[in-house]
Amino acid sequence: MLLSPNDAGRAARRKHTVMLIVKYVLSAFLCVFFLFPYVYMLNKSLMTMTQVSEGATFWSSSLEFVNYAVVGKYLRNIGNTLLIVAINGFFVPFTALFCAFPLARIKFIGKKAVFCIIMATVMLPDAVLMVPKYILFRTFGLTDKLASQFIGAFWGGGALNMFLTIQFMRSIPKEIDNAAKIDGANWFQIYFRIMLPLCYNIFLFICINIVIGLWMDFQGPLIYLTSPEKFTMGLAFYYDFNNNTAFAEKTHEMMAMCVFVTILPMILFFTFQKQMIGGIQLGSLK
Amino acid sequence: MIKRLSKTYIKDSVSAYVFLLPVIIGIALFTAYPIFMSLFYSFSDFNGSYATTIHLDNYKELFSLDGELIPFMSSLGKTFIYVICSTTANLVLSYLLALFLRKNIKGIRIIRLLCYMPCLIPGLASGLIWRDAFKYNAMGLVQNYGIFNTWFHKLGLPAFPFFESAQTAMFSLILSGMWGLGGGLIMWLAAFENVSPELYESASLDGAGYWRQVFSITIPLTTNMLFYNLITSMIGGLQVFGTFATYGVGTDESLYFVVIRIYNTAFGGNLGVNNEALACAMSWILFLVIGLFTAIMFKTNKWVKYSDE
Repeated sequence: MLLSPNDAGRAARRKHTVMLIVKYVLSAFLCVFFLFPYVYMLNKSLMTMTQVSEGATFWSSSLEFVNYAVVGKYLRNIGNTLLIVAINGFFVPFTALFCAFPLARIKFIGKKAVFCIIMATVMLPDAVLMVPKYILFRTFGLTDKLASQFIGAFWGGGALNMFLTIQFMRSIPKEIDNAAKIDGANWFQIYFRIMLPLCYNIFLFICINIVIGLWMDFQGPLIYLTSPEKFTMGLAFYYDFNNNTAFAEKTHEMMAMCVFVTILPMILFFTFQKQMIGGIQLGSLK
Repeated sequence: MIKRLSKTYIKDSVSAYVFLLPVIIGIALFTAYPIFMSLFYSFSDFNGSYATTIHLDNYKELFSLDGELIPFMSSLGKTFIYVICSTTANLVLSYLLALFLRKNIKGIRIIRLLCYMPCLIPGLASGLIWRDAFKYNAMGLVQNYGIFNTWFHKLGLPAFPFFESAQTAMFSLILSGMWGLGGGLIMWLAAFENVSPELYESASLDGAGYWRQVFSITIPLTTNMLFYNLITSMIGGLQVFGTFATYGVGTDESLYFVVIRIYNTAFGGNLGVNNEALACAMSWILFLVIGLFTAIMFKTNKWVKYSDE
């Protein structure tokens, strides 16, 4: 049987509507799935101690904001963490940009070799460096000092950050350098006056990634920091919550802390969404 | 003219190395020197303070049946299983998710953001959330169940042990990793942006259906990104350590990954029990494994298409 054009149009429209409904139902399912950890921790952080101990329930029957007072116990750890995060968050992108500049813009002797050596460090597992680095830091008296957590921030910021920066700098037209050179500028003037301001977005991207990454890091502090007053947030979390038994009945406070430590990454991501997505897009050009 | 050119070349080189000074010092001090020392320790009886002899005992220990061979290989095996399963699941599912969320429907940007949000919960915190939500009680005490087992119980389903059984711990870890698919999602969406829309237009004019377009255009043109991610998630996955914070070594050592073993061997015990030299030897085996895998992947990357070819 032949369909009249009118029928065909109606069928196509109906198919379109069905597809749209399917898409929204699936999207709704995805949203429920991905929001689960948020709704779960928020609810649990507002439960009373009795509700927590009476078996698992999803919705909280009360709004115990007083649970959040537990944050007060961690003020010292928060301070330590903020110091480490601030120093790394500034100097990692700052030195990464500085060191990446010649690899992106200057022709020089041994460029390829330098690039290859830097990139080869990506393959090197941190575990290989674990023991000798600890011994080295101990020799310099850096163990159990907060400095052990930011001494590494001044040396180029890691191969992957440098690689990303090189990609970004290459996308800026070369004519800018040439024009500046004709005006008599040297490479340092070109870098600080022209390149650095143009790299604002990549600077911010690296900075925020570092801040989010180190905010709750515990692997580095675990090896180097031993006295409780030096503990970072991540390390304090590790010692307080790794043992199931000790904190079992205080899950509501644990969840309040989980909510608290999620706030900073969320604020940073949503404030600088443009730079964050842009940075990821830059990575996708590889 | 040539003389002047080479003069600026030399001058440029001097400037370049001034820029590179921090990274050169950093690599020399925090990478090259430790690599050399680590190799030296691994062939010595280094105990954290001094070494007296150079020998092969650490490697012999690692490869002897009544020494460390079996525990070390079991850690390596668990790490491989984790890397293979989590990388495959993450790449395939985040790709499918990205294909789906690529569609332009109203509110898509908000849906994408919501899918990404679990990635903003710090790893330590999300580990605690999953440990709590997946709680299990071997005695069947319902009030000790986590939320999932309570729901299973209400639906009349048997309880699932999740992290509290050696058989299901790895599965649970990979399952909880699914809430992190948003990271891959954003990356794939960015990669799709680089595929020119004209290709799809001409393909649909030629009568190619949706899946045909996915397999002939989208996937081939994102293989370079796929390859990059395979490499980085393999290198990163082999070094997994974060699980140690919330799950320790797992029930019956089911999550005792290689780097956790290296850490425990070097720092985990008390003074005298720690075996720094053996830990260094283990880390070199891991390094060789990573190097070997990377080399194999670069040798077999014929399937990767680069857009500028």
